[in-house]
Amino acid sequence: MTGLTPRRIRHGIELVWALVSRDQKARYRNTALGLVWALVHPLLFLCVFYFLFALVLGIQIEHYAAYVFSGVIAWTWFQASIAEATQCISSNPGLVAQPRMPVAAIVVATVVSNLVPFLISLPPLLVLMLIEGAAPGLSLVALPAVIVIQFTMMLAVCYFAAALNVPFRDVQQIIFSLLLLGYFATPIFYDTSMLSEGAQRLLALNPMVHVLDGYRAILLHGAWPDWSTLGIVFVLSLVGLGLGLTVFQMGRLRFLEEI
Amino acid sequence: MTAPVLTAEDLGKRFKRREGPTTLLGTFAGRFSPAATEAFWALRHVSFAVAEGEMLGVIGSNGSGKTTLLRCLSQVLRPDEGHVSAAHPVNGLLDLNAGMHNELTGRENLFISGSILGLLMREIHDRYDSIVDFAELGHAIDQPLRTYSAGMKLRLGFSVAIHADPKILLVDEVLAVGDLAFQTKCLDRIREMKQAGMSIVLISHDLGQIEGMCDRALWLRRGALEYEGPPRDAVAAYRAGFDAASAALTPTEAVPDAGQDGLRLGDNRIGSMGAVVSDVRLTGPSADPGGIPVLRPGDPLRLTARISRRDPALASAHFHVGVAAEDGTRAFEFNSATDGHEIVLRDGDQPVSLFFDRLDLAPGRYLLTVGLLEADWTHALDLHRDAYPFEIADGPNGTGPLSPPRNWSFGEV
Repeated sequence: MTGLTPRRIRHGIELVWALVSRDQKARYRNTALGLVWALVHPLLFLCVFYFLFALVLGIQIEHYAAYVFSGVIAWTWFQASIAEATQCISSNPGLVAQPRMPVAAIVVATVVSNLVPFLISLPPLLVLMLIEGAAPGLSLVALPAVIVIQFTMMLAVCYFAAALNVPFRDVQQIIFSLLLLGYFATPIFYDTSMLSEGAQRLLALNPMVHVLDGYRAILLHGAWPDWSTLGIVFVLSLVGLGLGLTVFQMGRLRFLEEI
Repeated sequence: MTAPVLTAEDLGKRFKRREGPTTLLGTFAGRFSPAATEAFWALRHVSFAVAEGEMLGVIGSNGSGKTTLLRCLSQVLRPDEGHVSAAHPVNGLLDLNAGMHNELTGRENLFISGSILGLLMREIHDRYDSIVDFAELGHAIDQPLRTYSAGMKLRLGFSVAIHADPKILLVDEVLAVGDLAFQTKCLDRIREMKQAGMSIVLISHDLGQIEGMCDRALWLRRGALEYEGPPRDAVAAYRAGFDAASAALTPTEAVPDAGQDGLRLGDNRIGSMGAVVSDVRLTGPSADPGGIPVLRPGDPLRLTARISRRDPALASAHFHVGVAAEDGTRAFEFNSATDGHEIVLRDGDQPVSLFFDRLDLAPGRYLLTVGLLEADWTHALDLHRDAYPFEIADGPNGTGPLSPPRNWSFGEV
């Protein structure tokens, strides 16, 4: 394999695009509601959480509906991408065996595919914000930056998960358990300020905590995100991505031994 | 021949055979014991070169390392020893529908497939009409893939693959599927591209195809290069190896009688006897006093037999049929797998029957070979060589085993 020629870069981008549009069409074609289905799950979660925590338990968080909804959609993107990426190599031997297939593109396509429901959920989020009187401002221009940071962080995790799940058959189970744990270790329906200081320090190790803080600062409070923390997350994510991609490419020529 | 475009130098690939699945937790906990894994060479000391415009055939039983070889040549699997060098990107005619999705239309799948094969969208657009045209899909191209027959899917996949402008093409068994007309068209197209300088490595169980199409052939056995040379010789060596393996496995103790005189175990009846063939009957419209069927030109012939499994571990097998003239000239041979049938072995007796509408063989005496072959083509289970005679009477004379029905006329037509 030679290096990155312009043709190969272009082909890689087009391949990701082809795989993403395939996934979207496959997922939503032939369903009466089409892409609207992508909204059903987060909205259901919103209803449950709102009823349980705002109405029954009387939790005190400003703009609670928009708060929960932003948490749910960002987490869903994270969780669905990682769960899918874990299996994307082990369940696709036909693709891995194709001589001119850049296999790393499959992982990128998985993360991009799951970004679509996230983006589709943004307009309903805007509606919730308006209803609840949240006031976003100029800092909205920073939203894509936070999305890019989350994307980078997830891609790093996905490369490790996809590569390790080929030789080790229990990685899938481990990842699913960690995702379940992560769901509660991420302030989706609660706020970290409700926790003890020790718990807060522990949770600070979870990058999703900072990503969600970023989204909420921008969307709910019209403030700029905490760049210093997000900067650290981003730099660590880039390092992780480099490592993950290296592990993935090293394993790539061994995948077919194991599948 | 010109300089080689694809070379394999002393290729070796080692696999680990595992007792159970490897787990990450187990590895961390130190339960990973080297005793549980046993390494074996799926491929070793294999060297060869393919020249521009050359077609190289690869034969061998399943598990002989053919697919591993192809994957090393594709550079999707790293060899543990030796290396592969290719002058051009290597293309495959492997899993023709890889990456396609049933809910998407043929057109959408065409673009996905093209991209997976390494084409840019612009290139796929340019070749679109030609791809659809070759696949003979017409308006069906805008229908979802799930409405396609297996043959249509294959045509689409094949058509995209050959439009990827391969200079080196690796083909794994895919030419044996689809309808005959399209198969012929595909083979013609491959010959055309070969004329234009494309090099091909072809894996096939169809020995006739290897003999008929390839310039050279390799025979792989247990990962080692057993023979390399003219296809006819490679096929002969492979057949001899198959017979030797079957003879070596032939038991000496009594096996169920096949109900045919003149069958001698270890001589013209060989195989592991893991499943046996018995009661082979040939029925024609008439028979001579000795009970040998006699056919006139155009007459039908029916073959019936019974299979019974003795080794319960065997799940499936192939039924082989061959006909040779008394002087040993092979008239034809084929098997249930090349005809697209799978024989699932069950407990108890299983009937097999085969009906020839007509044979059109030249007059003379012929000997039929039947046999049950192991599913991975490594050896025979029960092969009865040249054990069943029949006769063709009264046809017009000529040379060669075939005598097509014919009529002359010398007046104005």
